[in-house]
Formats: sequence, C-alpha cells, structure tokens
Amino acid sequence: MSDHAVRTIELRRHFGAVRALDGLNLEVPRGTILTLLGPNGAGKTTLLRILMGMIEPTGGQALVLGAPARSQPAGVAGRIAYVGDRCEPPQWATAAMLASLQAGASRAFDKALFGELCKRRDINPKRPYGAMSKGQRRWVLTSLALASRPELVLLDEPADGLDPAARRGLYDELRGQVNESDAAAIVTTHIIADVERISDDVAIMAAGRVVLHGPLEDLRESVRQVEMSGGISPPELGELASVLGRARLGSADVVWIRRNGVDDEEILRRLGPDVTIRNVGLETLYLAITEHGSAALAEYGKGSE
Amino acid sequence: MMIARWGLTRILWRQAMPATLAGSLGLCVYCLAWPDVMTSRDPWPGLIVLLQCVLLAALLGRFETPAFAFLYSRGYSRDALWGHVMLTSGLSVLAALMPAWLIVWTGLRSRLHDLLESPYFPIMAPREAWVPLIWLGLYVLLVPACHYAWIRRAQPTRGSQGGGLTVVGVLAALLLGFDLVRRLDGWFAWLCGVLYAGVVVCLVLGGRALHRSLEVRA
Repeated sequence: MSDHAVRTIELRRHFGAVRALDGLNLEVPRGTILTLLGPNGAGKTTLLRILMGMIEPTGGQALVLGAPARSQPAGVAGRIAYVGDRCEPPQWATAAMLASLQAGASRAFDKALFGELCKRRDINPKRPYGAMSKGQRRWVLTSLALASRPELVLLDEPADGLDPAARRGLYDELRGQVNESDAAAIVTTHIIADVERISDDVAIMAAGRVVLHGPLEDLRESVRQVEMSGGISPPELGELASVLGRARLGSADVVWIRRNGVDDEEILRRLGPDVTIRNVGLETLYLAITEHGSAALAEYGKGSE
Repeated sequence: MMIARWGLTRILWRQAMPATLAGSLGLCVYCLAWPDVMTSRDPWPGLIVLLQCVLLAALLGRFETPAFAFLYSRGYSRDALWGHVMLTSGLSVLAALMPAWLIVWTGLRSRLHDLLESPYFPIMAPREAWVPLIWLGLYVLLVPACHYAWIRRAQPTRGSQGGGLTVVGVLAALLLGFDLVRRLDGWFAWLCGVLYAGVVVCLVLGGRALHRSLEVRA
C-alpha cells in the first residue's frame, strides 16, 4: 500500500492556450487533511477532476491510491469520494436513490451513517434533490462522500451553502474519519477559518502551480512579514529566506518570507535597524502570495519557491 | 464480469425515459394504425428505431451536464458505467419492442383491423409475426453505432467528425445491403450474418475503448 494517497509529478493540464495546471507537484500522505487555497482560476478544481479521473492530464503524472488517476480500476475508483463544483445529481433523484447509487460503487458505503447524517439536518430521504434547500443539497452530497468511508476524500468547496453548524458537523465528521481510518482528504475552500480549523497541511496554488506547501503549524511558525521603512528590500533577503510576496505599502516596502532555518534575530541583524518583523495570519499570507507573489518572483526569482 | 447495480441502472433508466417512450409509442401506434400488411421494407419502423437509438445515445451521453459529472464521479469504473449504459439501452429497446410485438403476436392488430374492415386482416397475424425480429436486428446494430458516434463526437481531440461518419456508413450499408442479403442463401447468408455480428461487437468494444478516455466536463 502506497504511503501517499495522492502524488502528482509535473502535472500539466492545458485548455487551449490556458494553462490550468503548469507542472504541479504535490504529495498527500495518508492520515492527513490538505487544504488547497488559491484564487479563482488557480487550478484547484482542475486538479481534483484529474485526480477523480474525470479529465486527462496534458502531461505529467497523477497517482491516486497508488494507481494512475486516469485508469482507475474498479477497486480503486470505489475507494475515492468526491464532492465537486457543477457536479450535481438529477433534480428528481431522492436522497434514498442517491444512497443506492453510491452503495453500488463504494463497497464500504455505510447506509446507517448516511441515514444518521441526513437525519441530523432534517432531510427526508424520499424528498427529491431539486426540492431541497441549497444547504441541504450540499449536506446530502457531502454525506454521500463521508458515508462511503473512502480512503481518499476530494471536497471542492464543500461548505458552499452550509450554515456554520453544518460546516462544523461536516468537518468534525471528516476529521474523525481521517483519524480513524488513515484516510486522506483534499479540501478546497476560501474560508480561512475553516482552513485553520481542519488542516494538517496547507497548499497555496497560483497560476497552476503549488506556490507554498507545508504543515499548517510549520507555516504559522516560519512565515513572517518584514517591513522596511527604507523602501528598498535588500537582495540578501533572498538568501535568508524564501520570499513569498512583496508590496509597497505607503513609504514602506513589505516582504513576506518563509524563514529557511534562520531566526528573527539573525534577519534583523543582517537587514539593519530600519526593519520590523511581524507574525502573520494565514489570510495575510494567502493574500501576500496571491496578490503580491508575482512581484517577489520578478525580484527574487527562485527564492519565492 | 460486470455486476448490474440497481441504483445506477435506475438513474440511467430514468435519464433514458424520453427515448423509451418515443420508441414504444411510435412502434405501438405503427402496429395499431398501419393499414397494410407489415413487411421488412416499411420505412416507418426503421425511422422510429433510428430516432430511439439517437435519443438513447444523446440522453445517456450528456457528458457536459452536472448530472453526468455527478454520475461519473461516484466511483464506478468507466467499464462499469459503459456496461450499464449498454444494459439500460437494452432495457429501453425491450420496453419499446415488447408492447409492439405483443400487439402483433396476440392478434390484437388483426382483430382491430378486422373491426376496421381491412381486407388484409386474415393474413396479418401469420405474415407479420416475424417482422418485429427485423426491428430487433436494427436495434442491435444501431444502439452501439449511435453510442459510438456520440462518444466519438464528445471527444474533440480524437476526430469528432469520425463518429457521424460511422453512423452514416452503418446506415448506408444497411440500406444498400438489405435487399441483397435477403436474396442470398447458403454459406454467403451465414457469412453476412457473421459480418453483421462482427460489426456489432466492434462497435461495442470500440465504444467502450473511447468511453474509457472520455472527458467529463460540466
């Protein structure tokens, strides 16, 4: 059995001239929840669809539970669960029909768990999908995924339309399954609070690549915001740390960095007295990379990971 | 060996319902209303069969819709999905053919035309009993041909125009070859039968191969 639930190597997917994925490398070990962050069009949904075998990569490799994503044998396909964007059952299908459909594909499908999850949100299994509220629909889809007791869960914006209580219930259930069965999950979301709540690892994508990837705690510990009142970021910064983003805010030059084993004192000593270093939250880090990452790339090149 | 899954079959069956109804109603109305003795040369049943097959391929192949993205992301292997598409198509064909067949076989048609004072009613039942078999033969060829063409069409990178040409070719061969085959006898008739079966098998396997690499883009 592969240690990694997902492994992609230089994965590429082009839609005409658009490079949705452009040499993406990613590893998701079993027993972890990876949250994918990135602006719209970063390639998150394309990645999940390739992993699910729905579309073909233009190049590179995608391995899911040890098998190539595109030629998943029945035994592998039934061990993956997916909740996706623009991926909804027919309006006339009832929750009971959907459970029967899912049970045919997933040997481990737990009907009792699905029934219990539906009951939790007062969903009548005989009610047609089209007659449910947006939140109920999303809950049914995520319940189907979780009741499959999969080894890999791919959730694309699962919380879209869910109220806070439902979101909490969903993520608690997901965390329980991952801890219990050594499953892995990839979740895309734009809700930073959810990321901080559920993630073991975080990957930030931009322009079809993973720009930053690591354990959440490690990112919290190693990422800093460096403000230089002098207005010019010294070139040696790129030697001390990976520069993730750069912006000019008023008269100050602000750089977001990931320290490469260098502590704050060392950075302060090397850059001089006009420098201030601050801890940053995940939201600031995300914005730094997605909004100001290209400026850093232009100045520091490979230093920006 | 594919195991039939009730949940998947039920959803596909429902998707294919308009095609089934069109075929079933069309053939029943034809059987009840056609005033002359039915023969294998009548064009209407052929058109009804073709319409149903095209509708089946279109309704079971809406790969760009959210409903099919959902279906294709449940964890069924591509071969299992293809097997169920074929199974559902077969059930749809039976549901369209059986009522029409019963109308002919039970004598309902000849009795109705007796009431309508048709001069042909005494010879209808014995002469027409085998005609639905011709329709079945058409279905067996056209169902995989239409599915193949539809899947081929849905693959923009694999020569989408080739799918339409397949159906045109199959139809042309049917129209041109039908009279010829009917007059043949002996080993050549058997050879034509074997070729027919070969074409059907190739279309089913070719469709399955294309279906494996099909992209589902909702």
